[in-house]
Amino acid sequence: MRCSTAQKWVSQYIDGDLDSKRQALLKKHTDGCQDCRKLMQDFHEIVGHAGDISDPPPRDTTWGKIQARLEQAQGGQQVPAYSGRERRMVPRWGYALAAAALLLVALGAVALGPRLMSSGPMFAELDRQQYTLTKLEEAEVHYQKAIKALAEAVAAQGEQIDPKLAEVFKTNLDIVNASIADCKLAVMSHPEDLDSRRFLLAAYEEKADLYNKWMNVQDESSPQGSFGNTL
Amino acid sequence: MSLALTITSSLDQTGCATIGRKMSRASRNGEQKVDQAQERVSSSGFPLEWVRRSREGDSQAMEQLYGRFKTSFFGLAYRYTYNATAAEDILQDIFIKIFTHIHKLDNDEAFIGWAYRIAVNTCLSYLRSHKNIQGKMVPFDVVEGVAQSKAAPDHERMFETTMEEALQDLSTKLRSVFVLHDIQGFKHEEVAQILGCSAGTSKSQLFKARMKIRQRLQKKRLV
Repeated sequence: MRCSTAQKWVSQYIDGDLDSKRQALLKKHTDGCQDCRKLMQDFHEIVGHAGDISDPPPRDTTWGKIQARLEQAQGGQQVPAYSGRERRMVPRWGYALAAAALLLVALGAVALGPRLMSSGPMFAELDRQQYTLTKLEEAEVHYQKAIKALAEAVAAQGEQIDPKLAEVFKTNLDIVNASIADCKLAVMSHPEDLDSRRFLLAAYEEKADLYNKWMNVQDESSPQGSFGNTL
Repeated sequence: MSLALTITSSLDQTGCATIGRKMSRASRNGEQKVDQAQERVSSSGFPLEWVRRSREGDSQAMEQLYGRFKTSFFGLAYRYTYNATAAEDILQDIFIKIFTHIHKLDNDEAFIGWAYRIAVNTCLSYLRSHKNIQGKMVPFDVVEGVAQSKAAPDHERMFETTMEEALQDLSTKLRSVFVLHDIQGFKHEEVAQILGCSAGTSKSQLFKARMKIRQRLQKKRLV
């Protein structure tokens, strides 16, 4: 038997999916092949550890948010996607609070706008795509303002975090900025392409998220402790 | 009390993270032969009545279903994003989709596969909309954890951390199979049903995933 075949059978053997005839062939092979024997040992260890990995629990408040969204949906309003964003935007800084409000407006505009339009009679005569574009543009402005406020909050806190972490933040910020620049180019090239605009908003969302994490780490690093940590 | 109800209470105590594994083990041990028609308990041990009542809009039953699956779905979302905040958002969306579409589910006993399909698709949809950035950024959760943990990690912790790092590098297809089969404990047939592929594909992808994880562990001399 070739080792490549034996290796695949090792995986199936561990899962209990190998018939007795093949098990016998595999045993014969592994008795004489140290590499495949080691593979079986390693796979056993990997599967054993994987089975022991525990899933992290979600927060206790999540069900309440789901309930609220379901009630919102039952009340005739459509459900905005990823509306859990607001919870990260309530740290102690005035800047961040303002950013939270702006982001909520932005998310509401993006998520509710097109959907309300599809269900509400008041939008029946409006051009669907034009309306969505307008709302996405509004959301973009709100995101930009929110990010500006968050950046000012980070700057106000100063460089209190581990220099290595600060470096990671800056690296990630560069990546997000590059992505935003790419998305902007795509939007400029195809102003009516909704996907490009959604990708741009996703990039803004990542940037806001990054600043928020940065503030959380700053807070944890400060002598006052982590009471402002919202994660 | 029947065996089926014993399984239910056992799951209540141990949480949801092992639903799939327990379901698979129960099947292997022949526990599915318990008179389910009488007790109307799913093969993984939760009352099918919860599904029916949720379909009828019973918020208590919805909360019970949420309680049963929240950790499994959160773990799934977390291992697609490695971002707790994003995973929370995805978790919300998963349950919103489940409860707003549950009236379309004809067979209550198919709930788990159906719900997991929604969960996986919601995770993949999130990744698609964030793919420009997610793959390039340094996963801060990992860096933060390392920076905060000053003590030298033991072998077990190193092994688990390295496995998680390796998982992050896997393609979504390989990661899906590994998480569902090896972490959440589903059988290949169940994984295939959730992911919409054949059991053979699930087996071959799991083999590739394990090989890649092993390579990462070998580099760190952990195996």
